[in-house]
Amino acid sequence: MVAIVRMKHIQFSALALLAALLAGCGPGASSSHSPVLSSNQTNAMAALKVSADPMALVLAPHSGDSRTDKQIIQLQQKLPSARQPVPMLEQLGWLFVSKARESFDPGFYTLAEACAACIEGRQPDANEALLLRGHVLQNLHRFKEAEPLARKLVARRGAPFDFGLLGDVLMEQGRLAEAVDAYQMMVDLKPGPQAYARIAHLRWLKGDLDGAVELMREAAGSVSGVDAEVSAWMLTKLAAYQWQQGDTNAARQSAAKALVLQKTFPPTLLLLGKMDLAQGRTREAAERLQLATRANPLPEYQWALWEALRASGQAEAAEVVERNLMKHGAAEDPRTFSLYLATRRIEASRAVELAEQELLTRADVHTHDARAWALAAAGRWEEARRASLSALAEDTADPRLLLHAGCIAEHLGLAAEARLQLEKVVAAQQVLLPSERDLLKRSLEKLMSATNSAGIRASIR
Amino acid sequence: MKQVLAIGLLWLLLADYTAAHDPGLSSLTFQNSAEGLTATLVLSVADAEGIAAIDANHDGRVSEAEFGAARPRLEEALLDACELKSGTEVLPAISIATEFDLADGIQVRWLFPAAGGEVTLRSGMLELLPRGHRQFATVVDGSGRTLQSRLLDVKNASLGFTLPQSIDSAPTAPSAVGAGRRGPLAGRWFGLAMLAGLVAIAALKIRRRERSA
Repeated sequence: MVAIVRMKHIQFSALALLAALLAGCGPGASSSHSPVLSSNQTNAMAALKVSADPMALVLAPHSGDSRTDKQIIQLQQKLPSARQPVPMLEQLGWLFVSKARESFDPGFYTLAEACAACIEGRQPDANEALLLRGHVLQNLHRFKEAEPLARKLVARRGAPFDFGLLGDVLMEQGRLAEAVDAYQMMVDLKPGPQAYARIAHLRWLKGDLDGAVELMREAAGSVSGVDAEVSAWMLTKLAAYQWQQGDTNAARQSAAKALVLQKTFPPTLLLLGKMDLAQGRTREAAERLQLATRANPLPEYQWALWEALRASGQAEAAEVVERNLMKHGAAEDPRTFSLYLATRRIEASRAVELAEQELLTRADVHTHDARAWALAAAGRWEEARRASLSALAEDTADPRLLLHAGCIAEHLGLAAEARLQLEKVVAAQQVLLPSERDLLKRSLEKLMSATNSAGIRASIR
Repeated sequence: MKQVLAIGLLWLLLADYTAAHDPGLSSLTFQNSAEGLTATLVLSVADAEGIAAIDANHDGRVSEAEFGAARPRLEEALLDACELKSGTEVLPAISIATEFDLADGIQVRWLFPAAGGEVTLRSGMLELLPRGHRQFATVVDGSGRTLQSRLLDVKNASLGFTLPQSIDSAPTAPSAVGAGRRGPLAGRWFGLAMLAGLVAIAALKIRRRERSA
């Protein structure tokens, strides 16, 4: 049996469980954040009368040459005359999900959701529709809406994937202790790559990097050859963990294996671009990141590309990327965009607003970190410190998160704490972007001048 | 089938990679009526918020007053966002009007001059909406019967169709959506329609008088 959280974390898990029990009257109920648009004003499917006939959406002519495209077209042709359309609708829904991840086009999730609506129209409250819709909501970051569906599935039939969905939505909401329970049920019922990959991520969130590498390697090794993209994604995650461990060669090898399976897989190109950037190969980095960003123009990609273009002396191209990022970043991925704004020290109040809006739906450590960093950029250091403590609550060994915590502590004159966090960052600073490494250097210099520490001096060198 | 299901579920963990906030869905209905050619867009408030900041007080709800204040900006941003071509000739919109409904979202209506033959509709607004946004475009006749439909996205934003040279559909009642900004031609079209109506009424009266005489 795979244990999700290894021995050294057991004591912490008990504390986390206690914290989760207390959380009922805690952060989730906070009213200090400005609410986002209410659900009926944001949910297009609910708001629009066009969704009255989701079948029209499902059957809207599809084009494309990939295997998934052909399967979609085939099912669309068969559906209108099908005697039992529900299994076909379910299959079509999952094909749209596959298409969404294959093309990095979230619009296909809308069509998958329409498939779920069609199933519900024929079999109200069907498990197939609940799972499909829950999955779509999870991918569209509507975690709170997905949770009751996952709970219903778990209570009703308790299949491994039901626990997987529940674990995912809980994890994204920062309820790790509950997520651990769900994932443990999943892996007990069905050990396999689906469960291993999730548990690896959970271990990483809990600061167990070695454990994450071990299990992601297991996951990548046990996935069948049916979906090259799934294997490529797992190998990329493994490479990212290995890089953080400082084993650049192993990381490059894992990434190379991923590219054999998917030669222009954007997540792998992003990772390799960052690795090139860290090793001073700025031109190669810019080329790789251009390719990755073209396929998946998310703020995370654009930010890395902006850094690579600047580092390689392509200032005008960098400006174009930044303009695009400023235009679409808030809608594409508000949390990363908030981090970008805060790191650049521009539009700090907007960064705070975006992070606080995100916190309403996704109260995990990374969103607490984004809020902390945005508050710091806005000069609200005491609030930033409190948010930073929430970000550190799970012992997550994410260098970016630790950098922010260290910088905030340094600014507030908490030298011992700043040193503790920043020294952890130094050990894995290669994963930071150039602007973040500059920030680390500046903070360490300030800390050194305040404490005159020989250890810190060595870190800066 | 099980394989498709298993592969799909494997990606549940991918929320960080896809970072897919709801890209949204809207509808665009194109109708040939006695008024001219009309295109009606229905989109969620959240999507409209991305085009012109409407929620002024950032309280998470858009009120009628906030919408009223933002209306000119929204109409300005969208005026040229629905492009219509008859053959190769671009038909500029005569007017644009918007309406806000708490339950249904925001409705935007463009009025174009009457046209026939090969017509191409291009939804330029897809470039203003979030990546991945889908728009269900429908062409209906005067009685509301669907002639053609297509799901548009930013890469496939056009819909071509053929209209009869003369308007053969039943005239539709003027839309309730009328509170918005109108172009300079709008008044002239309205005036011409009124004049035509008065002439027709006068002709009928004269004929009745002649018959009774």
